[in-house]
Amino acid sequence: MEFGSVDEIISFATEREKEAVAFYTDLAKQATMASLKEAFEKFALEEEKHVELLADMGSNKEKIDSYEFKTIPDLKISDYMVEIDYKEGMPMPQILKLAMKREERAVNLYTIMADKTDNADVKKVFNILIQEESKHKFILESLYDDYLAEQEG
Amino acid sequence: MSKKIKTPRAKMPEQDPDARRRNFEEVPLGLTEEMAMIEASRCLQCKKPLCVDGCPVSVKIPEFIKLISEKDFSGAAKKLWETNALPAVCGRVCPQEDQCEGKCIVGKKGEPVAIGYLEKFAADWERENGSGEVPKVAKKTGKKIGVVGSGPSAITVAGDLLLKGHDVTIFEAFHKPGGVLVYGIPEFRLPKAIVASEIAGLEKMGANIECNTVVGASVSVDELFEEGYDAVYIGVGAGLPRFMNLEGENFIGIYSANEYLTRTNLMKGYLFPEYDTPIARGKNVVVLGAGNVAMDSARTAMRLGADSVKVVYRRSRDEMPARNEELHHAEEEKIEFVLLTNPTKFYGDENGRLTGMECLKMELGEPDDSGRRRPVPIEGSEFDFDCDLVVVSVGSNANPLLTSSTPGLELNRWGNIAADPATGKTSRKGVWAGGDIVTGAATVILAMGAGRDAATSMHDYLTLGW
Ligand SMILES: Cc1cc2nc3c(=O)[nH]c(=O)nc-3n(C[C@H](O)[C@H](O)[C@H](O)COP(=O)(O)OP(=O)(O)OC[C@H]3O[C@@H](n4cnc5c(N)ncnc54)[C@H](O)[C@@H]3O)c2cc1C
Ligand code: SF4
Repeated sequence: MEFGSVDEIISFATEREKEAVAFYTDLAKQATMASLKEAFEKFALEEEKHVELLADMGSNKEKIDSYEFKTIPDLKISDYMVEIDYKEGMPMPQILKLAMKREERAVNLYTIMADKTDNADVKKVFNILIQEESKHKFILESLYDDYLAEQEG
Repeated sequence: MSKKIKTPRAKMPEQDPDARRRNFEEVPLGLTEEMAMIEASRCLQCKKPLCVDGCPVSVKIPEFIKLISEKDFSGAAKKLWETNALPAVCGRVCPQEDQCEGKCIVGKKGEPVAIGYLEKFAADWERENGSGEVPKVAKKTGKKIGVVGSGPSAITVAGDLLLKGHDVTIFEAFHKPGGVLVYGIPEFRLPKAIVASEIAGLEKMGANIECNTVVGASVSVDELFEEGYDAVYIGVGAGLPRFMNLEGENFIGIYSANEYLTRTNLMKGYLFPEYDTPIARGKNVVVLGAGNVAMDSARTAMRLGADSVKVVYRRSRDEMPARNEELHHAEEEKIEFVLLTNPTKFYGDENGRLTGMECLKMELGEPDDSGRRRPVPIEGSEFDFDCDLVVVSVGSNANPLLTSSTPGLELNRWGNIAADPATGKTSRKGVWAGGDIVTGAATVILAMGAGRDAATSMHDYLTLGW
């Protein structure tokens, strides 16, 4: 994957994020259980926020410069898990695993892309996306961690 | 008063750790009458007993202890039964340190009154020496109730509704009733004869028990109503094993705690070949998790002849969720705790048999917004273990079999039944639920408390309406 300009990256990433929105929205539609539906809708909304972030960047490059980088803790729960497929009626902890894995893949993809480019602006956009997806991964892994802690008895 | 505080807390006589780590007999031997009376005399008979607040079913603690101190052991057992249908079980398995004993005033300056030991003592005394009479049931109401499952929540519901004169049929999937008390918690912690005697009591009171009946498969909840049941209680627990989805988790030699313990307990695998349930006997056993279920698995593996048993847990000792006594007993039985360590993958040979595993060292990260310090992996800290048996004990999920075959039954996001916490009413008219299927894996006493609340609400429904 080669990108010439920041705009190209943004449009690539926007597509990926839109796909993520569609993924979670679709799961939300399929979910027969009200509580699950709600969870998927929340995930979709989170991904939607990424799309918005990217849209803002396209129209105003200053946003990129003012973005604040923080260290996001990485619990690495999903990193050691094998891939699982979505199945109708899957219990929520499995769904969380699925979503964690997805976010992990997104972090990996953007990390590879950031490594591939020498363009400082482009690198920065990737780093922003890495941070954003890492935040999602952290939220999902924390949810899973809380669930484990509650249910370990 | 000060003299009372000075009497040291009773020490429970126990089987010697070296002997017991190779047998399945109960570990605590029980207090003698004299010991129980001395221990009972340590109770201050508080006017506002905090211990009672600490008990999820508000057992009349100072009252039953007073009866023990007066040598009225039978009276003490009866006092316990007023609020707790299974005192012999609770005295053995409740996390007293987090409940009644954790609140006991004597414990503020010394060691709390041994409420659990006394509860066990009174209930055992009555079982061994009492008349064996069951409480009288009220005049028959003609109402039929189906109770699905036969764990502590179901036993409580059934007992309470029988007392009120209703007809109760219990449907149990396994070939023996008792739920986790029979197939989960091992003999060395909870002798099966105790549970059997409670079940026999229910039968004497008129309960009809149908084993080998999976509701949701052999018969549905709707069909129960069609057959004339007036109300249904769902107490099916949360027995669906959870795995970690790690690489190599399908190797032969990796069990869920659920399967491992069921094979040893319910099917008496530990008496193989006398009983024909083969059970894997690992030499180097690793148990993943640190709750009661994990401790039971580790101590079972030791009793089945393991050379070494390691409990691998990703948090620190303070967070280990098992009862203190189980942790202490496990250590005495030479179970090793490998803390702040997380498994990452399993190794196997060409025949698909487990040979070892890789782990990663963890450290506790900065507290997050909720104040919780989460374990974070230490970069590059991977290391390997050799092992030939792994028992995965990281919790269990609700089994969707019954819930997915019961239309209109609302579930929460984890797949547990959504029930009113005060009454156990579900979204389906005439259907109640309680215990682990509602709360997720919890405790015996909480399951029983839910059963009692539901029974009251069901009785109201049967006499007054929904
Ligand atoms: C190994 C182990 C150790 C534990 N140690 C402790 C401890 O020390 N202290 C403590 O307080 N708690 C402990 N617990 C937890 C405690 O046992 C549970 O919280 C409690 O048993 C839950 O009770 P329940 O009535 O909800 O269900 P369960 O005891 O789980 O019983 C449910 C029953 O329903 C049956 N069933 C399931 N589906 C169906 C169906 N479709 N049709 C018919 N029957 C069905 C099952 O076969 C089972 O017999 C332990 C649990 C385990 C597994
Ligand atoms: S708090 Fe302790 S001392 Fe007070 S009544 Fe309860 S058991 Fe007895």
